[in-house]
Amino acid sequence: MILWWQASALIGGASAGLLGVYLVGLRMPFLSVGMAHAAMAGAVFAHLLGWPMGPVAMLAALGAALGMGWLTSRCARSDLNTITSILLSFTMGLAFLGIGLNRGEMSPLLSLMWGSLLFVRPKDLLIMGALAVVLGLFVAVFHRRLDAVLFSRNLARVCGIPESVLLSLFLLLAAAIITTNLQIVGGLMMYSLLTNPAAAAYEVGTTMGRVRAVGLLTGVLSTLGGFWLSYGFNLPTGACIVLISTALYGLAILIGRQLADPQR
Amino acid sequence: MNAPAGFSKGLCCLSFSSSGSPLSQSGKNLHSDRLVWLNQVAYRPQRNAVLKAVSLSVHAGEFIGVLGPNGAGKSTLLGVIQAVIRPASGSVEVLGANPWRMSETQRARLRTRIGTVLQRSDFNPMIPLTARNVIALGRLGRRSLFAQLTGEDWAAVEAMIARLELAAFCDRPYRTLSGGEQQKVQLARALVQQPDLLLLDEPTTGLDLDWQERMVALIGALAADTQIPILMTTHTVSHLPANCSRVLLMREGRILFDGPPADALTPERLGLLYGCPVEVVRRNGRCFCYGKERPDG
Repeated sequence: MILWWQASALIGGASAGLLGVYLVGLRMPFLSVGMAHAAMAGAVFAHLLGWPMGPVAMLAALGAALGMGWLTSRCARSDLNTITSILLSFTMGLAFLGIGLNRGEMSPLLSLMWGSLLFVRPKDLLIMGALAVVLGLFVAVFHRRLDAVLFSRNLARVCGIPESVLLSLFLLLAAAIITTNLQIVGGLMMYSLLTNPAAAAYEVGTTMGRVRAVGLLTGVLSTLGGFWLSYGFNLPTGACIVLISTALYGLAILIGRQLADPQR
Repeated sequence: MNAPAGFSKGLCCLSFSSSGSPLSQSGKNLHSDRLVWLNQVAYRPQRNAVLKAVSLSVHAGEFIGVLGPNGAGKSTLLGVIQAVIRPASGSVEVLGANPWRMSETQRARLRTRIGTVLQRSDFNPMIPLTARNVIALGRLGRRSLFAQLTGEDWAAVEAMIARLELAAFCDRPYRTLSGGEQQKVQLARALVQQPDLLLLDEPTTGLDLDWQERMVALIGALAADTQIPILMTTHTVSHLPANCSRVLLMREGRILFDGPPADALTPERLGLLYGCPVEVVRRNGRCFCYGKERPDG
């Protein structure tokens, strides 16, 4: 069983690390946390209503992703981060409302909030693996176009790159991956796993290829390291993963400074 | 046969043949080489009129300077031609097609035929793309969505690097380049698209004096060498190269004047355009405009 858990940590860390490179690069920090919390709210209400949690969580995350994707291209007057943070607080409010209304067993809901590798079943692992492969292929095929969108959406548009199509496809994939990875770190800490490895990668990466590689590697180190720390000392997995990813980000800042100015 | 409304109202430099086809001052039939036609185009985001009944046509070989103060609607005009801004009313025809009767993918393909240099600040400094990577973006749109860049694309990129003398900094991260170097890279990126039309949105804004002059000289030389029709916006009269063939004066979303530079760049017209008395000095075909001290101080 421990092999399954390690495989989950490996796949989850790799896909969240790589996905985060794009979510952070889009400069929409609330996008990932908004999707994570929408997925959590969806799962909580699915549990309350006796519906299957996974598909409902994914639908909620997809809805949030498309809604926020639409806002990024249409919303002209209000600050995007303000709107996405309002959506974030709304989805978090929904999730906590659902938890408050729950009169049954709490452990499935708590696992959604805090996550645990121990809840990952072989079927989940297969889905996570399949989605990681899809993400890898998506990045392999579209990496230059995605780089263009990250660099400047306006520039991508005027170069004739169908950036809204690409972005919509990417957000759909992101929603699916975030939902399946909720089980590892939980809705509350998913944001860190999407942000910290990617932020570390941008600190040290001098090309987009290196940023992708470092993001993926830092994601894997965070989840595997967090798993071993949690397993060894009987600590919550999600918290351990987040703490390790934060420590790696701190290390990346130091390395990044050294790379930028070797005389320091 | 009546003349189309856009021609009769908006284009003071055109006349009409007996058949109704618009003629240039040289008597050439212009429909055959018309690349852009805007007829009574208006754009009103949040009920704030940015473009008001603008009519314009652009023909092969023209180098048009679009001059006006900040907020005149110059960049919006380019956005309409680029098919990134959908007008609230009026007709738009770009490279022989109405972009708003196309799918998003078809519109994206149309944009590959239009090289655009955006205003300087519009990029994410976090993304570590080199100047060469940025130039190569110009070739991406030309390929189908799933296709990768080919050897031919990279050869075109290298040729453009050599042509615009970018070799000294083409492997440096774009974010570390000076403003002038960035604009030169953007020009290379637009040209490597091999466009049918080039749109330059304030390419000299924010550059130091040396780079302003270098960009003006480069744009002038490109217009002369390539014969690609160019629309260039600026709010500084002296940034129009000497070989600019036509000038649009824009203010508050309207085209106040459309004609040859000699007629457009007069103290009276520029004074009206900028809302203050100006003095105009012409040197080597270029025009320099200075604000005059107001009589009331």
